[in-house]
Amino acid sequence: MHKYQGMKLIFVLVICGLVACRSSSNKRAINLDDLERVQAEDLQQMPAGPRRDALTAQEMLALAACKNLPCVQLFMKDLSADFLHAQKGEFVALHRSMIVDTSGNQILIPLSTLYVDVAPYASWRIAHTLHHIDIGNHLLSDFHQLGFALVDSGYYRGINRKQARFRSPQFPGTTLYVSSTYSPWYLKGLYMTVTWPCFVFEVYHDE
Amino acid sequence: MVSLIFLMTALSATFTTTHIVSRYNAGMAVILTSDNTNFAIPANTFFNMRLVNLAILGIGVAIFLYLRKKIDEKKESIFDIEIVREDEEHLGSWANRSDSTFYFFRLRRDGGFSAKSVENGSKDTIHVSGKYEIVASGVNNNTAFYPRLITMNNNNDTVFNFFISYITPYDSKAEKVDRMVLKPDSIYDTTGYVFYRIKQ
Repeated sequence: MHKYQGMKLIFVLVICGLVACRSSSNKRAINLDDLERVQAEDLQQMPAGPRRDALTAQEMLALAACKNLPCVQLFMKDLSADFLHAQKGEFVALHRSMIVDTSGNQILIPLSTLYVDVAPYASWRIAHTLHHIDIGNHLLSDFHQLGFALVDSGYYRGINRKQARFRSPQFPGTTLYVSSTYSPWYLKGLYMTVTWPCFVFEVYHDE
Repeated sequence: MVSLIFLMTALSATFTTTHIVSRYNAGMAVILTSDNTNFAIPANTFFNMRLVNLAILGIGVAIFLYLRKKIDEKKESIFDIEIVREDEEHLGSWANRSDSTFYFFRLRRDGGFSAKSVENGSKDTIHVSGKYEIVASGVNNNTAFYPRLITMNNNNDTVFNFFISYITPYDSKAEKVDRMVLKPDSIYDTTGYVFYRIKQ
């Protein structure tokens, strides 16, 4: 019995040594031929991320028909892959990106928010605020394609800021207001101090 | 690490064929041997034995690590591969195929770098060789930034300079494939390039 004990020990040591000498990382390497398959599997398993930074013109027109907050919430629920309901009446794009403020600081923030205020004294109703000029230009061109053309600019809806007013023959009774500002709203919203230019889009149906 | 623990267990089983009966009488420790005889030895001697066993175990582990290193070195020189161990997961061959390009590179233990790339639709393969450096994250190892992988060709021109956002840890049990994610910036949820470890 005893004479086999040494053999057993050597056997165990050899097995342990072989196991210990194996490199886990090298074992997880794949063949070059399998690269495409593994990448495709990875893509399938990856959760679908947000695909956009802002609402489209069509969606803003649909939102303009909402007269209360639950209607907006219901509408935005369908867009929950791209937008998050951050606070009551405040939606924010899930995807974040880099912007540069007026001091040259790089800030990583969502590129758009949607602010809804149903209070009777509120200066805003539904405001889609974009934090980058490229996104703003893209949304504006989206409205242009729907026939929205500049009518005039002025001070509308009691807001102390000049707004450009757009109307479209395809959507009679609907007005688009676009403005750029550093104070999208006063002491409300996601950001109390805004140091970057915001582009605010509002769509209203005539009452 | 798990395999190391296996080895340590095996070694300790070798050197501790005695079992301690938890009884100390007048400074004596009672030892029960594997053939069911027991005897008493002075407690001091008993503790000295434990220290000796620990020392033997430590020496055993050190010998094992030394031998493993030597075996790895020999295998690397014979087969021209990198045997990857803890804290050197970046070594080896990596590849990624995107819609536009197939990119393959190898990071050698001696700091050597070689890469080849093929653009889709093209039959030309571009070969680059040079060296690489892993630069730690900032002056004070600032955790807000990832370490950088800087690769240079033989003329010391930078081939790419990316942050290493993620490498599959050596002892990972959750992943079946090793991945290295390289990013042009160190910002959390921005685009990265996923490279996969390729068999050498």
